Order: sequence, then C-alpha cells, then structure tokens
Amino acid sequence: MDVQRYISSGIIESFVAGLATDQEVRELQASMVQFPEIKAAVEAVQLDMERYVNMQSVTPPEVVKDRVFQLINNEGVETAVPVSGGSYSEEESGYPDEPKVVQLVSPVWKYVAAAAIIGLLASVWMNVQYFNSSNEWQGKYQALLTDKDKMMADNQVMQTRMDESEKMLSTLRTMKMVPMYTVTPTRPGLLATVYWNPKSEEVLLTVNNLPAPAPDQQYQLWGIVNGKPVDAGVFDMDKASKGFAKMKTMVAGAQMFAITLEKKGGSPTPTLTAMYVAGKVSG
Amino acid sequence: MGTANTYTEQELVQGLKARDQQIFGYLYDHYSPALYGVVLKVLNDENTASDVLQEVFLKIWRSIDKYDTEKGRLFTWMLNIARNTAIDSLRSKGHKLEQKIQELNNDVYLQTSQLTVQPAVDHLGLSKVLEKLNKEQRTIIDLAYYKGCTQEEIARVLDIPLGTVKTRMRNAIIQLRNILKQL
Repeated sequence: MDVQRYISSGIIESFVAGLATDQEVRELQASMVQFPEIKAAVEAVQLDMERYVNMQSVTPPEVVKDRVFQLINNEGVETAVPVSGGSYSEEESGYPDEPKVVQLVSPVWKYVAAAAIIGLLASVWMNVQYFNSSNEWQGKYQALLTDKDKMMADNQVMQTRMDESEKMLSTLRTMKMVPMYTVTPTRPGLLATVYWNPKSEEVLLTVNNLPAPAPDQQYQLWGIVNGKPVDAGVFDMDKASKGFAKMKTMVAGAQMFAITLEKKGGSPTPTLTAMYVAGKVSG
Repeated sequence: MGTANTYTEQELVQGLKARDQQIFGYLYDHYSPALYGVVLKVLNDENTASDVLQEVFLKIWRSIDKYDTEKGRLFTWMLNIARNTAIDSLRSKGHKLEQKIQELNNDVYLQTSQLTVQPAVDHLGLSKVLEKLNKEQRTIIDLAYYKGCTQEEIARVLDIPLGTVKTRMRNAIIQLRNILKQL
C-alpha cells in the first residue's frame, strides 16, 4: 500500500469530519493498526478538528448537570451501584438488604411476560408470512419448471432443425444443380431449381419464382427419363419457396426436370399445356 | 480546558469505570461546554440541545466500559457520542438538507453578542478561523461534522462531482489547520 498516497487522498480528513462511509472507516481503522504514520496523521488531524470544535463551546444551562446527577443517582439505587465507587461484588451484595428488590422482581417479570407474548405474536405473524411467501414461491417455482420444460422442448425442435439444415447443406454440395426456366413466353421470368444426386437419387427442390397456385391446384415435379415423364411428387409451395422441399427420388438416367400445374394431389401424367418451367440436366 | 487538569486522562477513565461521581462531576464541568457546543450547533435549538446533552452524559456514564483507550482519546470518544446522539435527534426530526444549510448560515450562537456572554467560547480564535476559511471550506466542514451530511449530499450542495468531495474536504481541513497553527 502506498501510505503517502493514502494519507493525501483526503480519506483521513473525511474520516475526522465524519464524512467517511462505513467501509472507508473500516479500511482506515485497519490501516491505522498496520501503519503508525497513518495513525499519527489521523491523530494530528483529529486534534486540530477538536480544537476547532472546542472553540465553539457554549456553557450549558445549569439545570442539565443537576438532572444528569439526579438520573444517575436514581439509576444507582435501582441497579445498586455504590455511590462511593467500588467493586462489582459490593454491587451484588447490596441487593438482598434493599427492600426495593422485592418490588423490582415483579416489574421485571411483567416485562419478561410482555416480551414473551410479543415474541409469540411476532413468531405467529412470521409463520403466516413465511407460509404466504412459501406458497408464492411454490407457484413461481412451478411456473419456472413449466417454462424450463417448454424451453427444453423448443430447444429440441431447434436442434432437429439445425441438424436437418446442416445435413442438407452438406448434401447440397454433392448434388447436381438443375435450374428450370420459363417454357412459355406468356409466363416470363419464372425460375425453380432442382438439386439432384444421381447416385443416391435424392431430389431437393427450391422455388425461386412461381405464381401461387389456386387452392385446388398444386405444382408437380417431373423427371424426364428417356423422353418419358416420371413423377417426382407434388410439393408445398410455402416450403419450397422459403427453403428446400424434399421430393421423390429420381433414377440416374433423368435428362430433364419440369414442373406442371396439376389438380391437388398431383396427376399420374403431366398436363403438358400447364408446364411452367423446365431445365436440362447438364452433362 | 485552559484550567489546570487535576486528573490525567487515565485517572478520569479509571474513576468513571469505578462509578466515581466526583470524577464524573469534574468531567462534566470540564467537558460539558465543548459537548454542548457540538449538540447546540447540530440542533440549533436550546431546548432540544439541553435534553440531548443530558442524554450524552448519561451515555458516557453508562457505557464507559465500552471505551477503549487503544482506539483514541477520551475526549474524541465523548465528542463522537455527542455528535452521534445529536445527529440522530436531528434525523428523527427529518430535517431537509436545505434546512441544515439555512441553520448553519443563521447560527445565532456565533453572533458576537452571544459570544461575549458565553465565557466558554474562544471567540477571538474562532472569529479568526471563520474569517480566514472561505465559505465553501466552512460549509463542507460544518455540513459533514455538524449536520452529518453524506458525501452525496455535499456534492449536491456544492454542485461538485462526488469524486472530488474528499479532496475538497482535505483542502478545507488543511486550510483550517494552517489557520489554527497561526493563532
């Protein structure tokens, strides 16, 4: 500790002026024990402060002294402190001879009884308080448990989604990308993309731009294998336009992919007039 | 305490611990003006101050066994009792900060007319001190010592950052000590 710095920090003056916080007081008292120079500095400031205080002395009214002595004399009788000054053993031996002792006993018991009753009431009150607050805590605890379970479940869902996404991302890397573009000039700018793994035959579809189908209709994906359409399944627009829809598998020989608009649930053969997009699998 | 002490501090403490009323009387005669000065300045009201002074001496009488020579001089201990008891009484009255400042400014017991009839006061020395301390220095010392204000309150009154209160206090007390040295 830098004693000089501590001394000049203002802490000593603040302490002497009664301004230091409890923590500062404890700190200062500890360092006074440890460092004589701090103790000396405190005492020097204290002496001067007391001189300043002393300068503002005012003689109190005479009556105060009389009252003080009257009070300590009465106190002396009650507690049997010998006026002449002496040891505490005299104080004890003074008790039995005093007739007042008998009177002293009953008021004391009165206080003890009063204190006991107050204590009992306080205890009852505390119990009620504890019971109430314990009920309250019970409720809060249950709510927390429910919250925790819900969070665990949510977490589980998130975890599954994360796993799926991660798996999909790594799958995508190994897949062939087949962009499918508008086939009729009346519907320009349409785009959907197939990701296909010819080995595993796995097919994923993402829709970049397709008009929303009527409620009783659904888009259907087709693979063209040796000139013949093979059903790759209908898909949910919402899922395919926001991410990837997992489609039916497609055999390794597919040369093209196409999407037609069909009745809800799909058709066994594509309605060629309603072909929206198509794309060739690149070599 | 210009008069020659017939008791050393040690004798006073021993006498008090032995419940010697003669010693207690001596103590009262010698120290009551200083303690009353503190109490009166804290409370700024003679009636309450008398009651509090009485309480202070009863506390001294009753708790002398708690006094520890190691922790400081007897006078310091008694001053602390007087200051704390008076400030407690002040707090129980719920004085506002503004009121405390007002009281310090209108301290009637510092008027010369009063001082001349109070032989206990070293009024020459005091007026010199008050003359040479600037207003801020006097305020910071008095608000802390006599009104028990906290660092936060003093920062607010003087409109200074909380972190500088201790430095200001140090400077004020250094100034006070320099003035005292020259008396």
